[in-house]
Amino acid sequence: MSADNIKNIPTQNNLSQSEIYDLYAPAVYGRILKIVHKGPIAGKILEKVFIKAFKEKNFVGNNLNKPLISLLNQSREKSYQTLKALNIINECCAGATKSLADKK
Amino acid sequence: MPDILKRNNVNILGSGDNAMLFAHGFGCDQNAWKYIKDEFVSDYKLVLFDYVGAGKSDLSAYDAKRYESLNGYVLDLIEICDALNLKDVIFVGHSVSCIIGGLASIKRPTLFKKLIFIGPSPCYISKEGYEGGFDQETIDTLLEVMEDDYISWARSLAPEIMNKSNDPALGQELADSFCSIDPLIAKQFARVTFLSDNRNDLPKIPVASLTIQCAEDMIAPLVVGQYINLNTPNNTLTILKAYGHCPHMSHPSETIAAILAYL
Repeated sequence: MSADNIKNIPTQNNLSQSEIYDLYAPAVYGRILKIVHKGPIAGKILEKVFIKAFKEKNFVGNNLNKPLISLLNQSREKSYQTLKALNIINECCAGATKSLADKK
Repeated sequence: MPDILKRNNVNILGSGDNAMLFAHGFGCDQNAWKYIKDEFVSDYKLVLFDYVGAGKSDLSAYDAKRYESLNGYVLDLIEICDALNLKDVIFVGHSVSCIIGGLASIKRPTLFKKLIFIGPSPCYISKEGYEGGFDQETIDTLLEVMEDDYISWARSLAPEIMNKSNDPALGQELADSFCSIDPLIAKQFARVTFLSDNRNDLPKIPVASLTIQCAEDMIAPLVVGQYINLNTPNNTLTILKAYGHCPHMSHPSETIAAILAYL
């Protein structure tokens, strides 16, 4: 997740968003990676999960365990949705598609 | 007038009196037909092509406005037939191309003699009283994922999929001859494909057709094939033992047998 993305989303509690990210990202990333098994995919899902979370009102309350549970649940759901979407793409051509951009 | 044969990388094989036109689906190019085309080359003039954005098509011919609906692809198909002076064509389409072929036959019935649909779907999203295979959320996620590096991501998962569901040797063979797509153009093609709803067009298809349906297909499930068969005049349904969405690639012999039996 880029520093710019974090800065641009308004903070809603006394922890800065970068502090929240530093606190929870390792655990959330670990959960995602356990499902998708691919670092680049996991990194992008992690970014999306945090951006979505930071846009939610009252995402972080006084209890610091609550956001973690919420983030883990969201990351799990997002991971499975992403895998399903990638499986659809693969199924469309029996997993035999490559990008024309790869040749450039 | 653009050079249509160059635009769509049209290739002609064989020299039979009757033409057989093969139209690939989303995520593919004309490479997808390589396992079945040889079976027909001695009896038919085979016409293979790539949609703009796929294979060796002319990417500069892409016009977002023209291709904002399936109609742009329908026009391409008709223009290819006209450029080659084809008529009474046997059309073989895969996936979204089945509907493209069906729509082309409604526009120009005389172009086609028979339509062969492999894994067709008139609507991928389930709606009231219709089971399309996907819910809106899944398709929304699919389109969202396509904003990212989706092709390499999907490829990174592909060997696992191939090993689970198909012969591992096929996985390697396919990897050596992947179909090519432009990621940006494919993104719009996916949107047009997966959000389209052409159920109302099925009863208007004026040409006899065959639906080749795999027993298990996550993209176009059996109920979709049955829906097409019920709602399309003069449609024959053949259910293969094969599974997956691309029986012409994964189970070519069974697919060829189904086509030959119909012809």
